[in-house]
Amino acid sequence: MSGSAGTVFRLRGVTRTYRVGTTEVHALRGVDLDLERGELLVLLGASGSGKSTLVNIMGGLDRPSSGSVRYHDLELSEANDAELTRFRRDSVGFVFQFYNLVPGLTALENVQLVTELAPEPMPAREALERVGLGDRVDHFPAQLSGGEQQRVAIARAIAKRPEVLLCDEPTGALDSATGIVVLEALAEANRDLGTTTVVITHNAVIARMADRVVRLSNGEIAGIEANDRRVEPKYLSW
Amino acid sequence: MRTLGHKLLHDLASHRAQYLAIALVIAIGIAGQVATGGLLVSLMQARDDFYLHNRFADVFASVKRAPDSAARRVADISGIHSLQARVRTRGIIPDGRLAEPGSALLVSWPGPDGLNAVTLASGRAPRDRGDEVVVATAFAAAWGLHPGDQLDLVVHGRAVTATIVGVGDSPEFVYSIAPGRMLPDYRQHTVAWMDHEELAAIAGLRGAFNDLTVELAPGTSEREVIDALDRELARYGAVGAYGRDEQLSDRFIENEFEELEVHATIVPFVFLGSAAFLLHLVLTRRVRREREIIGMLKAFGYGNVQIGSHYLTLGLAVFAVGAAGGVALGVWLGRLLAGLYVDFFRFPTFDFALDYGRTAIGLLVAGAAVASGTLAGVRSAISLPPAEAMRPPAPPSYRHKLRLPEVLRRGVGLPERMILRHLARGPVRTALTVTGLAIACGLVAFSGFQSDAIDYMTRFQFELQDRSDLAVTFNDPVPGRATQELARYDGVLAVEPFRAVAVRLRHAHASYRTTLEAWQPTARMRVLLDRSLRHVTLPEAGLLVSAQLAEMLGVDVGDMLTVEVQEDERQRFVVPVAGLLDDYVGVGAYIRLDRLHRLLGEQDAISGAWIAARAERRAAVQSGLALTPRVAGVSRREANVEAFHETFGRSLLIVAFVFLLIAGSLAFAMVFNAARTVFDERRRELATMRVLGMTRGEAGYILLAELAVITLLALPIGLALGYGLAAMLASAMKSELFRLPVILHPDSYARATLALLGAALVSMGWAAWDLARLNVKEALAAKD
Repeated sequence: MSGSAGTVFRLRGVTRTYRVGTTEVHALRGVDLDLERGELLVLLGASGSGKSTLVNIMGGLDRPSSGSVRYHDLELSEANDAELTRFRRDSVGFVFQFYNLVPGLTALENVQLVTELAPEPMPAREALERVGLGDRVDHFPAQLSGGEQQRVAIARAIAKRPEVLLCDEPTGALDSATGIVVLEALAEANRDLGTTTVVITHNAVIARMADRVVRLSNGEIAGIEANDRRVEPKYLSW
Repeated sequence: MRTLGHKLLHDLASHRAQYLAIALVIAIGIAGQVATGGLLVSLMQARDDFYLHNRFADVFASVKRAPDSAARRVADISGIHSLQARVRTRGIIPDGRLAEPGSALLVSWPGPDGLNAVTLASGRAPRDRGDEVVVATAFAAAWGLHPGDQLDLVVHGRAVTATIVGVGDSPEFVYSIAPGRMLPDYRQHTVAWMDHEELAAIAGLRGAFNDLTVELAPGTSEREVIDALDRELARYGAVGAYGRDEQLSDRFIENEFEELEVHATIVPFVFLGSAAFLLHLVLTRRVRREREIIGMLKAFGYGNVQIGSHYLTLGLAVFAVGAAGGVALGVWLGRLLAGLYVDFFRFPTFDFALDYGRTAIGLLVAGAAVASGTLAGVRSAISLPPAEAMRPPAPPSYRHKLRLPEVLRRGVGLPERMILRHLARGPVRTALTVTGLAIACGLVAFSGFQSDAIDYMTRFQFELQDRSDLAVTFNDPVPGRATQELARYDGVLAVEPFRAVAVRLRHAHASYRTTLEAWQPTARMRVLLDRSLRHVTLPEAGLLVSAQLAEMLGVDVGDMLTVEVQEDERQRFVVPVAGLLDDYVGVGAYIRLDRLHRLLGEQDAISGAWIAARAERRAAVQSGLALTPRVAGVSRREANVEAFHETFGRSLLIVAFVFLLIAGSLAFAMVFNAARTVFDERRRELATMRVLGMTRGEAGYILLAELAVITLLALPIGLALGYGLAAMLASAMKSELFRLPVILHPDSYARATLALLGAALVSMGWAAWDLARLNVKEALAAKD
């Protein structure tokens, strides 16, 4: 498999081993994966299948035990801490299951936290308008519902116009209706901004909104499927 | 429950740094109690043993001269168990080894079983030869004198070259003060015991005595015996018998013990209270962070009581470590301190004893703080339904009013906004943290208080009020023309006379023995100042009385005081209190010289004089005067300053130094725990910042700036608190010996500032190191 000019990530033989007490846990056992520019990829798998480990490595939060993780020309497995920080700052947006907003900052300020760092961000207000929160900019996280908090987190992630958006169970803590609103915000960002997006989930329904679905099992890729047609989140239900 | 036991050990192990810091605070709080309690108990025991074993007399009486037969008559007074007639006289030590002529108090050797017996540290008792003496251990130690050494003395104008045959101490002279001096000075003054007959011969008292010590029969009224003695001895020129409460040495010890007791009670309690406060705070927060585990335990079916007792056990395990360490540290520290003090007081024996009361209080207070802190933390966690407890806490609520005004918002960056809102969101929590740090800072400032106050008092007393170079005191009052004789000495620039009379001041039922001092209102070498350093002039008529003395006697300006002279003629007169003097040292009464002469019916008698002398002639003038027959002593003002430092410096500063160490460690523990708590609480946020692409420096700024803000808020409060504690201690330590001025030098403030900032910097460094090692994805995965 040869990478095209549109390849953003190129993973080869990635393994990750943890030592827990005296036992070794093999979280990833040789993963090869290419990520194309602008695609929406869903990583599907049971818990413990290695999804989060894979995304953490792609986001520069963790290092592989062996193998190569190439982001364009940057070899992440060999990057130092400063390079990884710069990589996260300039190129990656994160969305977590538990939002991870800073409680002491308003919605707008949470987004500004990122726009102040990024080289070419969109206005923070615009990012919030994109996720449908234009009227909630001055609210603190505690004054927002779970879905709204997650949308602030998405606004915060896309405001810097990252090339990659990494989402770890973004709907995991939300009910289905709220979850769909959040997924719509992600799909829109992917469509309108062309952000390469990776969504981790254990919910197979969500896979239908992806360009490609990667199934992980026991630290290995069990299969990669391309959807003929992406289903808009509003037509999903679980 | 076995599983919970394993969990407990695991918890202790995985948070050992913070639990150890908590145990350290417990240990420090308890050690203070154990050490000071033990110090007091052991010291008092050592004194009581010394008094009992060496038969410290109950009543003391002096006469001019009484025949030995009078002693036999007096012994028949009912209530007197035993009595010892003796000779007591002054001598000068012109010995070349001393920097300046010293003074000696010569006393009859009491014998091995006599009253006020001497415990010999080395050598033997003096035999009936006129040249053998036993000297006090402190004096011998100061000059490296040993049995067999010679000591030059001048007694009643007669030069004696004595041989030191022994070195020892008696309970009567734990403190002994040279004439004209306010404080003991072991380098310039000693008691010298000599065979009774030999001393009587030298003093011209063969077959007679001039001093009596009495041991009372059990159950006797001291007052009645004193009155009977005064009646019997009046014809021999008695100056009034007195009990132990007015015996100089015992009063001095009693005062020192009282000061020590106040000091050693208040300060450790402040430490213990601070430690308890810190324990409560830290443990509450520590346990609150276990909410998820507590929710899980509840979900498994553990009851509130089981969960509560599990965490209580955890708290008590930490307490046990701290308490064991605290008692051990306290005993070690107490033994060390008591040893120093016993050396200082020169009590011959001492055993360190534990003060069970104080130890128990220390353990109880610390234990209660541990229990209350732990349970407060558990309570907030078990009040939640298990499902809610297991979810990560909802974002803490920041209210609308925390939205900053637009103007500010433009000026203040996001990190600063986060810090400000975080501090403002939990005003109580922020206030508690700030209070903790302020206490730490205050304790350090406060521990410098003693030395600052003593420095100031010394300056006040011996530089601002006393401006003489030398002060000469005569054996007996001399005619005023002696002033002119003194002025003729080569090198003497000015002479100003004074009269000092031993008196008993009486008002209603209260009375007090002190010295009434008189000088001319034009005197320039001796002035009186109030606490604002304003000159206080001697009143036209009546007495100026130390405010402390007025309080003790219950008199105010305008009240009448009865003055009973305790010398030769034993005059008695009534004078008004014309003014009060708010002074620092001693309790005196002052009057104009001409007024006193009129009241005493004297022409122009003086007791001594202040002398200004040219610097290069001072030593010669001093030596020359010291050997003049009628002179009892010559003191140098600088020597007074040294003696003052020696006396108060040694006794209080030992403890103050130990307290500084304790305050410093407690300050560090407080700041360190505060930093840990802030770090723990913000862990998840900091991890988020790092994920969002902030560098360590940028994330660290948010953490460290918050700590810096807390520290800077605490600093002024802490310094003010230090001053408040000093004021509290000063008011509690008011005694007839001295009143501490509430003074904290810039040095003390600077030390406290440095201690707080230093502790903050170290703690911040530690937090920064933790931040650098922060495992971002684990911190994010941890549900807080």
